[in-house]
Order: sequence, then structure tokens, then C-alpha cells
Amino acid sequence: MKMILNEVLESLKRRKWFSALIAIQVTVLFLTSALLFLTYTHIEGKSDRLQPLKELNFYQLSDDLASDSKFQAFLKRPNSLQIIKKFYKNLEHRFGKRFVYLFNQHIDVKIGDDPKWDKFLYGYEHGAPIEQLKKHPYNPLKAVQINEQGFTRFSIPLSNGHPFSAQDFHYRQGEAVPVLLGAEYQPFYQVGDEIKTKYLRKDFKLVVRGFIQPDTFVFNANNPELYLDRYIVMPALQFSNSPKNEADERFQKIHYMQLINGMIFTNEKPYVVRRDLEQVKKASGFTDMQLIGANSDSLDFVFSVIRVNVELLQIMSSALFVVCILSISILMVTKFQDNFRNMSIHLSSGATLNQLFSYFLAEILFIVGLPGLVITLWYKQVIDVSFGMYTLMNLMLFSLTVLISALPLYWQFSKIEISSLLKRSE
Amino acid sequence: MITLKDLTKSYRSGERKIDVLKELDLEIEQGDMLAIMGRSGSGKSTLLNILAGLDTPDSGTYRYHQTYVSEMNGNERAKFRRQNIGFIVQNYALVDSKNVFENIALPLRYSKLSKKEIKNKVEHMLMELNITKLKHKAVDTLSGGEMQRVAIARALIQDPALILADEPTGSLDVQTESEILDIFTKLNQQGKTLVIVTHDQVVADHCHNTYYMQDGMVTPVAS
Repeated sequence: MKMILNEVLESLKRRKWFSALIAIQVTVLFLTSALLFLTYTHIEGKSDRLQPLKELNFYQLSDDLASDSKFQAFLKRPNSLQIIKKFYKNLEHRFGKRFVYLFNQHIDVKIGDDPKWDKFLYGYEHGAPIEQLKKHPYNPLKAVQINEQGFTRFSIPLSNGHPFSAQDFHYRQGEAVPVLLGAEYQPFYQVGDEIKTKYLRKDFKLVVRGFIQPDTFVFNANNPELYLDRYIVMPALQFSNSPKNEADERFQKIHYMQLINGMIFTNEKPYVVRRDLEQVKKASGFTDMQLIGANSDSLDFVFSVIRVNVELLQIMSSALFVVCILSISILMVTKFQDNFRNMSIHLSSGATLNQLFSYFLAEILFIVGLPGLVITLWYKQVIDVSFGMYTLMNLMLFSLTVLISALPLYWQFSKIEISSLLKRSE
Repeated sequence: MITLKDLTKSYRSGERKIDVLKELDLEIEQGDMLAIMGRSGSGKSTLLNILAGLDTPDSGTYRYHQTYVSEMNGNERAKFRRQNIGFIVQNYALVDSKNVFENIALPLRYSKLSKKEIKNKVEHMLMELNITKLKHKAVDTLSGGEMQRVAIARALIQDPALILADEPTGSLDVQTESEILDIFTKLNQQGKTLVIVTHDQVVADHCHNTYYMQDGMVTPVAS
């Protein structure tokens, strides 16, 4: 063993640039494989989350009250709240689980001037100066409102706390509204903390029910990947009580106007969805509603991106692997041919061809194994995502690299004639 | 006692088959010192490689005392080399990356001796050949004569009964050649058998017997 180690170290020293070149290449291979593994894990996770939606078409409901004057006119109608509440109720009744509501409406919270809150501000990612995003005393924080069907369909995973229950989607006077916070809120709040807020200018007391796992995303018509890490997730509340005053009535009207602009996930034909919507409109007496984007562009986009990404990764990793294997094999065979003279000296000193082959094999193991080990330890220290799977993948990559690199060498050894070796050494 | 009987060996050079040894017969007595002469390509080195157990004949038998070397497999031949053969070549065959001590110790490492045993044996051999001062030197800093002494030390380190030398003085000046031949004579006087392949009549004159190799066969040269 010591002899093998000595010979390997001597060979590495003798051709240090050669050896360094191979080691660098192997390092790049393992480093890239780590990044590819991470990306692949990420894509697989995303694909798994969207899988239940894959076979479904996605329709966006949109009210026709596009202009502000039309909208204000509708709000002023004395029975408008009853109409849209009825419309919403009929929507839920007709479409059931197919009707998903997921809306981006910021929640205003007193956060002070500490810059640690900046990333939670509504519009932070759009690049506007922070001073413009901040308001006083309440600041708009990113939030989504989601109905019970949406919460179930997107299966939002929690790192701690409890998910919403069916009762949480119904507002109870005087009680705090449960919310789930994105992963990046974790340092600032604990489960059970209460937060004073304003939602659509109405005061609400929120209570933290739990925290969402990092990198969890949902989507709607406007955003194919809405990551929730910096979001407050609030149940899309239904109000069974009558408004107490004019302001409360206005709040409920605006809230319900948002609620009806949801999405329908279904595998039914578009005409079936349109027919059902027409029946809801007719039964509710609210006709200012249409289906837009009656297709699955958003979802198709996500899946096609996933597909392309996976294909790209497969091509990249295969190409890199082939290049590395070829390089290592060529370099090792060149080393072998360079080494004829020393091999003949070892043979005449009593070595066997098997022993000589074991030196080369040990050198391949060393030159592939050392960078592999370093990158694996680095991965454990810095990244540590699915480490078991990653180690298994690395072991397979290591074995395959060693095996394929050693094959041409083994072939050279198996066909070698000692006499030719001795002649070439002279 | 070494007996070679009906030994044949051929090589392929592209499509052409070259017969190097043709039913060669040779007997070498223990304690003999013989020279093999002949033109380049006559098969001298091939014969020496077969004697060393580095190469195998296509047919015929090679008997070393009571052992048939021609019937051994690779591992057995490697063991045979370690136990019985000292091999010296013209270009010294030293490993550049090892120093003098390590070069001489190389055959001992294949014999799995302890570190202490290796050290004692190498130091003794360095003293025997009067090269103790070279012990830690890198081989590429040595003169031709010094390198050949190191190569001889390595060949002798296992105390082999048979020493094979392929053009051992081919690269040396007259003075160094004489010193090396004196070493060979001394070894022979100690009971070692020496087979020396050479083009040099001076070397042949130092030997008890000389054979001439031609057309794949050896014939004794009358002294």
C-alpha cells in the first residue's frame, strides 16, 4: 500500500502540470454536477408541485367594470353587495373545487424605518426607490389572498405551525385573522404573534398561524411563479355579517369584487366552462363578467420551461461528462506511454504487470477521488440539500469516471508484450 | 545450471514475422562468466530477456536448476526475477524521480522487507561498491560510471545467483569500463554466474566463455 502511495505521489510530482490539469477538470466536473444536481432538484420539486395541475386548463375570470366610472357606478347601486356576494356564492356552488382565487393585494403594516423590512415591501422587486415604496405610518407589505380551494390545490407546505382550516376562510367579528408567513419572515415573528394591519383600508388583527417552507411558489394569471418567501398569505375571507356602516359596505364590495376575479382549473372544454359561467351570471343577475385567457398559457409556459430546462441540463451534464472522461482517458494513456521506461525498470526489479496497473489505477482513484471528496465536503458545508442523494450521485459519477478512464489503460495493459516494453524503454 | 532447449521466439513487424530465436540450445554452468556477441538485431537482448524471465519463448524449455521458468506465469516469473536475477543495462535504467538510495532499494520493496532491513542492505551495498557518498544524490546529477555502479548495486541488492548485463559498458570511457569489469570479475569470483551481452571484445576477453549469436542460434567462439 505504501509502495502504491509512493509511486502515485512520484508520478503526480513528475508530471505535476499534467496531473493538475486532470484534477482541475475533475473538480469542474464535480462542481458542475453539484450545480446541476441542485438545479435538477429544484426543477423536480417545481414539477412535482405543478404535476396535479398539468392536465388541467386554466381560465381567468374577469369583471367587465374596467373603467373607474363603470366600477364606481356599480358600487353605488344599492344592492350591488348582495349581487356580487350572490355571484360569488353561485360561482363556488357551480365550479366547486375548480374555482381558485389567488390575488395579490398588499396588507399595510406598521414596520418603522428599519431597512430589514425593505424586502417585504410591496413593489420591492420592481426596482423603485425604497423611499417611494414606504408610506407612513402603515407600509404596504406583499400579500396574497387565497381561497380554500386554492390553498388545497397548491398544497402549500409549512415548515412549522398549522395550515388553514375551513373556518379560517369565514370572517368572525372580533377575532384575529390567521395568516401564514413566507420563510423569510421567520426571524421576525413566531407562531401566535399578532400583527395590527390594514387591508383595503380596514383595520384587521392578524395572528401568525405558521411559516411556509422556503422556495414555495404558487401562480396566477399575472405571475407564473409567485414565490411566497416574502409574502403574507391570508385566507380570502367571506363575510356573512351585514356591513356596519357605509365604509364597511364599501370595503366588502371591493373585497368581493376581487374575490370573483378568480381562476378556474378544469379539464372540461371551453364551451362547457362558458356555459356554466353564463348560468352563474344569469342566476346572480350580474352579467358584467367574462372568461379571459381561456387557455393554459401560463401553466403551459411553466411546464415548457421545466421541460426545456431538464433537457438542457441533460445535454450539458452528458457533454461535460463525455469531455471529462475523454480528457482523463487520453491524459492517462499519454502518461502510460510516457512511462514505458520506468515500467521496464520496475519489471526488471521484480514487479508484475498487475502491480504496474495498480499504480495507474491508484493514480486515477486519487486524481478523481480527491477533488470529488473536496467538492462533496464543500457541498455538505455550504449547500447541504438532499445530501444523501447527492453523495449517491457522486459515488456513481466517481465510479463511472474511474471505470471508463481505466478501461483504455486496462486494454493497453492487456495487449502489452513485455519484450516490446523493454525495447521501447531503450 | 541453466539449460535452454529448442528455444524459439518470433516477433511481428506489421505483416512480417521475424524469427529471432530458432531452436536455440545453450547450457550455462553455475559460476560461469560468459559473453554473448553478435550483430544488432541478432536476438542477444531477446535471449537475455528470456533468461531474466522478463519475456517468454514461443516454444522450447528454459530450466533454471530444477525449475522450468518457461512454464511459469507472470507472477511466478516476477518472483523468480526477485529471487534469482540481477539485471544491468547499457542505459543504466534508473528512475529519475528517485534518489540513489531509493533506486537501489527498489527490488527490495517488491520483496516486502521491513524498512530497517532495506536500509541495512542498501547501506551495505553502497559500501561494497564504494558509492556511500552518493546515497542521497539525485540520479540525474551522477556521472556515467556512478550511474552504472548504482545500477549494479540495484542488480546485486537481492544477492542474485545470476547476473545478466546488456551492454553494461557501452556508454562508459575506458577507465570506468575497466572498473566495472573488475567488479564483474570480483562478483564471478564470489560464485555469481554472469551473462554479458556485448559488442566489445575487451569485455568478452574478461569472460571464461564467449558465444556468437547469428540467425537465431548461438555458437561457441574458440578461446
